[in-house]
Amino acid sequence: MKMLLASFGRDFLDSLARVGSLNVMFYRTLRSLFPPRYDREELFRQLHRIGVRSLPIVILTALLVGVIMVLQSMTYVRKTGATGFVGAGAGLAVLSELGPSLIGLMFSGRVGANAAAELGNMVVSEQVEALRALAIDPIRFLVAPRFVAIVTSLVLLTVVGDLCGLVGGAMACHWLLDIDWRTFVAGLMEVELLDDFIVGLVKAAAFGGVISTVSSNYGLTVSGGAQGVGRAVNGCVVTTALGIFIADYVITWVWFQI
Amino acid sequence: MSTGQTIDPKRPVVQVRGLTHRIGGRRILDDVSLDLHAGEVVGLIGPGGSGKTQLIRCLVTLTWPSRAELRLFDKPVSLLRRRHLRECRSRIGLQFQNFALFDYLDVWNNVAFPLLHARGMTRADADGPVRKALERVGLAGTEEKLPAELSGGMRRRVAIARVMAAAPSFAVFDDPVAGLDPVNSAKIMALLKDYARSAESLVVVATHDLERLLPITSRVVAVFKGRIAYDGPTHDLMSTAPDEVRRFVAAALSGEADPELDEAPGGRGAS
Repeated sequence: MKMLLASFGRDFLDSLARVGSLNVMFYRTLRSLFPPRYDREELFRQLHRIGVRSLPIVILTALLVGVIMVLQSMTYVRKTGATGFVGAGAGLAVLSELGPSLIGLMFSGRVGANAAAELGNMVVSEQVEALRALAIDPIRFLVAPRFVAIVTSLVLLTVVGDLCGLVGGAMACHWLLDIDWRTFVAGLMEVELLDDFIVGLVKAAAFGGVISTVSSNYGLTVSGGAQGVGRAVNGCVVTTALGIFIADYVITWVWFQI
Repeated sequence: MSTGQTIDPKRPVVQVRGLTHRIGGRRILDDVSLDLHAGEVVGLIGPGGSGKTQLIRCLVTLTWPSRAELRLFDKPVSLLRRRHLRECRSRIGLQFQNFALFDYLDVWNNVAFPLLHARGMTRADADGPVRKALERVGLAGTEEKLPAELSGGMRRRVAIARVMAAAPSFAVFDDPVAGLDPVNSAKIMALLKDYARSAESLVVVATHDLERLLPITSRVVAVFKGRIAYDGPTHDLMSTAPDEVRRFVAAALSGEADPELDEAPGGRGAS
C-alpha cells in the first residue's frame, strides 16, 4: 500500500513537473519568435517536411470524415426524408469539430512523434550540445522553426481538410444516399458556417501550438539513450492527444460564451 | 580565417581556480586549478572515467561546475551576461567525442555550420575555409555526402574539420583519433600541431593514444580520480610526474593494461 501511494505520488509530481516544463517551453518558444531571427533554411525544411508531406494523409482523413458524417446520418435521413439537413449537419460537424480534431490527432501522430524522436536523437548524439557549444540557442534554432511550421501547416491543412471533408460528404450523398450534390450544397448554404470555419481554424492553430510544444519538450528532455527516445515518443503521443482534447474543450467553451 | 579577436599571450586564455564538480553527490572533479595560454598544445591524459570529459565540458562552459572561479579570455565567466557568454562561446571550438555532426546536413554544411550560424558569414565567404579544412583532414570531395554515408573515422575527421574551419581561439579535441587507423591518426595529430602553430590558438587534446599525443604537445595535464595529478612540460613527464601517472603513461605507451588502474587506457573513449 505504501509503495502504491509512493508510486502514485511520484507520478503525480512528475506530471506537475512536466506541466511546468511545458509552460516554460511554450514561453521560451514564443519569446524566441520575436524578433523573427530564426533560421530560414530550417523553417522551409520544416514547412516542406511537416506541411507538404502531410497533405496526402490529411486529404484522405478529411474525405473519410465527410463520408462517415453522411453515413452516420443515413438512417435518420432515410427515415425522415430530411435530405436538406445532410449538408448542414456534415458542414457543422466537419468545419468546427471533427475536421480540426481528427486532422490534429492524425498530424500529432505523424509530425509530433517524429519531431520528438528527431530532437531526442539530436540530444542523444550530442547535436544539441554542439549547438550550445557554438553559442546557438537550441530553442531559437530548432524549436522556433518547428513551432511556426507546425502551426502554419496545421491551419492551412485544416482549410484543405475542411474542403475535402465537404467534398467527401457531397460524394457520399450522391453515391450512397442518392441525394443530388446540389441539395447537399444548398443545405450547406442555408446555415451560417463562417463562424464554425473560423473556430475550426482557431482550434487548428491551438492544436499546432500544443503539438509543437509537447513534442519539442519531450524531445529535448530525453535522457537514457535509445530507450529514452522511445519513452519520449510514447509520452509525447499520449500528452499531445490529451492536450488537443483539453484545448478543444477550452476553445469550444469560450466560443459558446462569446 | 580567425575569430578576429587578438589574445594577449601573457594572459591565460583559460584560468580556473578551485574547480569542483559533483554529479549526484559524487565528486567528479576536485579542486582543479589551471592556467592555459594561447599557442600551447596541451595533452589531457588520464584513465577512463577520471573526469577528463567533465573537465573539458566545464572549461567550454557546457557544464556549470558546482564550484569554481573560471575566467575565459580574461573575463570571469560567472559574471558574463548572456550576450557576452555567446561571444565567448563563439571563440571556442569543441570536437565532441561522439562527433555531434548534424545528421540532416551534408559534410559541407556541417563544417560550415559555426561560420554560418555563429559567425554570421555568407555561404560564399565560408566556402574557402570549409574546403581548406576538408582538404587538411583528407576529405576533399566528400562535401555533398551525409554523415550516415561516411565511416566512423571519416565522421571524426569531419568533426575535426568543423573545429579547424572556424579557427577558434581555444580549440578542444576530445579523443580525435579514436577509431582511426595508425596512418590517419598520425596525420590528424600532425595536423593538430600544425593547426595550433598556424592559428596561435590554445589547443587541448584529450586522448588515450599517448604514443601519438606526447610528441605534439608542449604540456601535459594528467587527471586522476578528478584531481590534477601532473601539470607540466611534456619532456619532464617521465622524470617528475608522480608514480601513478608514470605507470599509466608507461602502460599506455607499451599497450599494456595497468592492473592498478580502474580501466585500461585505450579501452574506450577519453572520458
